[in-house]
Amino acid sequence: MNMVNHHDTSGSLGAVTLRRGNMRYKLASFAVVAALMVVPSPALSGDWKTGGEVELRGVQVNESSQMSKFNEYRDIKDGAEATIEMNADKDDKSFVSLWAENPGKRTQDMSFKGGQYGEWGIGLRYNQSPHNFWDGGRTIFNETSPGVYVVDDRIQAALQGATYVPNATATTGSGAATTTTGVTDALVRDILANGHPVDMSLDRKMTAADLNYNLTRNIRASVNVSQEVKQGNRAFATVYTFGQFRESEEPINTETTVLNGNIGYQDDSYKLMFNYNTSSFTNKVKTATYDNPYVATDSHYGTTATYYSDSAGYVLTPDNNAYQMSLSGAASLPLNGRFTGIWSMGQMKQNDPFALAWTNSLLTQPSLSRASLDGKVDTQNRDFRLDFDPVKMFSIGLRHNYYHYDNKTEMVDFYGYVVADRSAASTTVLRRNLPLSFEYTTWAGDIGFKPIDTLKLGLGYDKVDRKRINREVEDSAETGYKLGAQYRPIGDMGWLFLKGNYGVSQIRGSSHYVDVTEDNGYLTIAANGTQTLGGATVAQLPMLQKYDVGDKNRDEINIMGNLSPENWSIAASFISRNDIYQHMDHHIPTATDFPAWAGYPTAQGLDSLYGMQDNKMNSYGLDVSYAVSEELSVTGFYNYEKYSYTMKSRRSANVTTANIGTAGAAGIAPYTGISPYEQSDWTQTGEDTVSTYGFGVETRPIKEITFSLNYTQSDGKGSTGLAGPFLAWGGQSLAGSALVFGSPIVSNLPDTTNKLSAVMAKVDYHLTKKFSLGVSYMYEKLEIVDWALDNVNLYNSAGGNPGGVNNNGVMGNILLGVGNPSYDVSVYMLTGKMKF
Amino acid sequence: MRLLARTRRTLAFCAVATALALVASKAEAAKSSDCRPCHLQTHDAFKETIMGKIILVNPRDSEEAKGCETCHGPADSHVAAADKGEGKDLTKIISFKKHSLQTVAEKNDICMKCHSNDSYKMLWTSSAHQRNGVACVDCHTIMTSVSKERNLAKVKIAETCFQCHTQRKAQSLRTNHMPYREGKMTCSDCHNPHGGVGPKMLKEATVNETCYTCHMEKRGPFLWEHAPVRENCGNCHDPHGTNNHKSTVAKMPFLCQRCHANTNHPSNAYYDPRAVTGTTAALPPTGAWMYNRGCINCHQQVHGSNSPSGPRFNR
Repeated sequence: MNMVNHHDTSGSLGAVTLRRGNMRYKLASFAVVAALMVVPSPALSGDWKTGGEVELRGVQVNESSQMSKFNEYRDIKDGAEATIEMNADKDDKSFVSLWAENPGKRTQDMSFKGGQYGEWGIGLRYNQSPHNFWDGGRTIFNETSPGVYVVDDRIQAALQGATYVPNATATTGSGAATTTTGVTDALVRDILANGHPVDMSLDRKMTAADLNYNLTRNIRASVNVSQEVKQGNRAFATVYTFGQFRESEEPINTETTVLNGNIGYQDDSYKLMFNYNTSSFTNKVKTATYDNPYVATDSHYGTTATYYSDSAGYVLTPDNNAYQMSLSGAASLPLNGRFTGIWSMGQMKQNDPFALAWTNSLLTQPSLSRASLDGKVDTQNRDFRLDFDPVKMFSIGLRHNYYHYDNKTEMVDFYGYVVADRSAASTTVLRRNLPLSFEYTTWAGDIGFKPIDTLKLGLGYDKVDRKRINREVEDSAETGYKLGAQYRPIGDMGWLFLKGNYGVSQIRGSSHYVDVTEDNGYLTIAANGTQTLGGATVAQLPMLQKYDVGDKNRDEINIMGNLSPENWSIAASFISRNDIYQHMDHHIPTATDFPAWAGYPTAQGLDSLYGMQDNKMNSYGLDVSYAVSEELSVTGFYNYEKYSYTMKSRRSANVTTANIGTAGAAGIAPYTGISPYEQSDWTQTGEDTVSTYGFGVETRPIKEITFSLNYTQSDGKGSTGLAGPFLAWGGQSLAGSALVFGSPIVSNLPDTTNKLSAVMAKVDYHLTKKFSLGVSYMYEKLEIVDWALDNVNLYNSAGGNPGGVNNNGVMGNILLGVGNPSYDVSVYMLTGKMKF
Repeated sequence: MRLLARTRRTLAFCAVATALALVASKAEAAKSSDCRPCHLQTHDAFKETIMGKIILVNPRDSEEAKGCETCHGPADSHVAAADKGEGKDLTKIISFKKHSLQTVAEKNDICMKCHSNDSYKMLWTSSAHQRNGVACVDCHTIMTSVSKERNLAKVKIAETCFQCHTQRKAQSLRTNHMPYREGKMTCSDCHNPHGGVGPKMLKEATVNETCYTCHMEKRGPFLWEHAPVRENCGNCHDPHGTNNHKSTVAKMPFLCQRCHANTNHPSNAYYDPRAVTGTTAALPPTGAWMYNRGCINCHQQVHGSNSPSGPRFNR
């Protein structure tokens, strides 16, 4: 039984702690600013030249109900804010500067710099940024201690007593829904109505210091250290069994520390630098446990009881640390040559104790073969480049890169098997982690040729060999060729510059299909040591091309033009990239390769059957700015992008075979004439287009007034097409479902749209050289239509689903209320600025 | 103690050498004032920049003591030409303007004589920008202070980059993006425009090592690794911005199905039941795989899990 917290209705413990923390930071930041303003005064007496600027702003915000997306990384609210800047320097190069933006606010930035120009400098900085996820989160969980989230026992008991098992996917047998859903639905809605608000945001507070020092004109050293604290909550889905999730908060209370130092030497012929970096990440909340609102007592799946675990336990991000050191250099060489290189080595480590294998008290905790991972990864990077321009019309470049992510972590054996605290597998079944390693070796070269002064042509070649350990494709090679041209018809620094290149590349791997073992992330090994790869029930798709390791051909075009005649600046660009995952010339599978895969069409030849088929991107843009006069400049831009891809899959469950076979025998189109397996194939096409445009004006109509206006618009549209003779309903068994036969063959998803309109207008009236008043207006409107976000409720039940159909996975899930983040916000600002 | 004494001696030597250099340079520095009468506005604006405060006021060596000539070269013939009313003759002076006769490489060499011994510019000479003819002055304005950040040609770093990288400018306006539109980070937090260690001028050796500098919690290693995550964050995310949740390159669940297409429930085609049933009413989206955060609704540890029960990343 869990602790009941009847009193904490105002919010979670983490939120309370956070608010206290914020108050401390506010007080501290006020104190720092005050000190910065007072302390330097006597110190700056003498021949210091001082100056600075203070800007005070009054802010009024008119917003729609939801502001989290608008303020995702900022904190624009009603009230007053300020920016303070103070500078002082002396003729002996000494300087100090202070800067504070929004001191005391949730988003604030303060820095102090001092030293001597070109000799040495120190810097101190405090930066605080929010990350707002959602304004209106509500939850029935209470955090009784860090990482422990409980639901009132009475709620658990009432819902368990309601006898309905949300998300029960089976219609018969254990786990089935046994009674009407209405009782439970009404109860849950009542309970959620009394849920309390939860703060769904983070604060990042970073403190940093740096020192740089020119020991001589040739030797420079610098050291910097920083610490960042993150505190707050974000959404976290807790899973108690398959298909059930109850969204709650994930407690965030972490700290990262970074120390970096380097020293470099430079003279006319070569440069050398040594760099050392070490960092650590500490998570102050290692685990989190969440009560299951529906279950008051633990029970086994597969018994007569139909309830599962009364709570779920999670291991949150473990601590880790790393270091890296590098030596880099550059040198001038004969034949107008130059060399640059870097060699770095590092290590990443993680050794947090294993915890919380599962929380179901009826399941025996496994005997882990070790207490922690002792994870260790060595990294190495070597990058060398040689470039020569022996004569004006010819250049050559060579490059070699080697990167090795060498995971030294040992494999760890776990006997027993638990998924979501539901059931335990045989203790003779072994799970084993697969530490991933990879190394990339690149050799590349290019030659440049200038037939005339204004034109440079280039030809490039590169080859990347990739070796991986514990992945489906262990060895692959990417070979690429590139043709390029640069045209400067009116000289090297003339106002016209056109540049373009065309490249083709292909990736070929040593194996062409997915090894299901790695795909599932574990090996199933019998006690006698015999490995059963994934189990006989898991079908394997021949020639599945996984997105990141699949064989593919790519062609790419980049064209860019810069025109900058007097007072104009015009940039135009066109980018096109086309990936085709189809050509695999090293192995054509046969029935021998996949004996269990009857019906596989070996006539497929070289084409990829499954996974990504193609992935394309086209983009073009134009950016123009024109200085009409010293008092007026205008800008405008337009950018269009289109991303499209096609992927193909096959539903793995063979339950459809009989149905399709029956349908085929009955002559029901389109289930005749092709194998049941192919009937399970489906294709998805995705297409995202975005048009972005805007304009801006800056003018000074009279000496005392400056005016600026900027408008931007981003119109995005996403389309998802689905095609296949058979579309599965949400993972359920389709036996007997009306959807198997007679349903539409093609069912596209509704389009999604993302439209952002932003206007920023500002007028400043310069009363004197040192004092100005300003008025500004900012308007932003984000309109999102998205089937994944619209109508997401705190609780969804069968009654709200189309046709009363159990849309498996939605029913019974309790959420935080995070949904469509569209907003409509106007910000008015009055500004007073004084220079001194 | 011996080390301390040696350090003291070195520092003393450096101090004396610097002092001698400064004394020697003071006499030369006067030359800059010869430029001022004709280039009054430019000269005085430059003097307020950090470079101006060093070169015009406190040169550190004889080279800097040449004042304007440190960068613009000997001005004698330019002055003579100006006396004849031919001051705009660019054959007489090193110029950094659009119509100057110096090549990009020649101009950049002048800048790099002083600006290459810090970690940020160490790899400039073989960088993609250098090889593609980008001039220092394309991004930096030297003679006046337009930006408080590193003498940039535009007020903000991102605005400077967007001059050429127009697609990135558009992506900054996507629903989900890194906080560079809000000014909380900028292009140079990940990329080194002067030559990076990694691909695409990244500051670190790989995409992931770059991401780990801020997202250190993703670094691991974890007990259960998600292979494409570990190899390249860019397999799933476009950090410049997309209209998909968490800046993913495609919508859930289809992003995951790019790889998870062959087994169990990910092999299903999830779709909108409204299209099947003919229902038009506003309804919750269907399936735990489709709505809210898609696959992450359950597999929330998709970046790696350290739980013994976490091979499927739902623990």
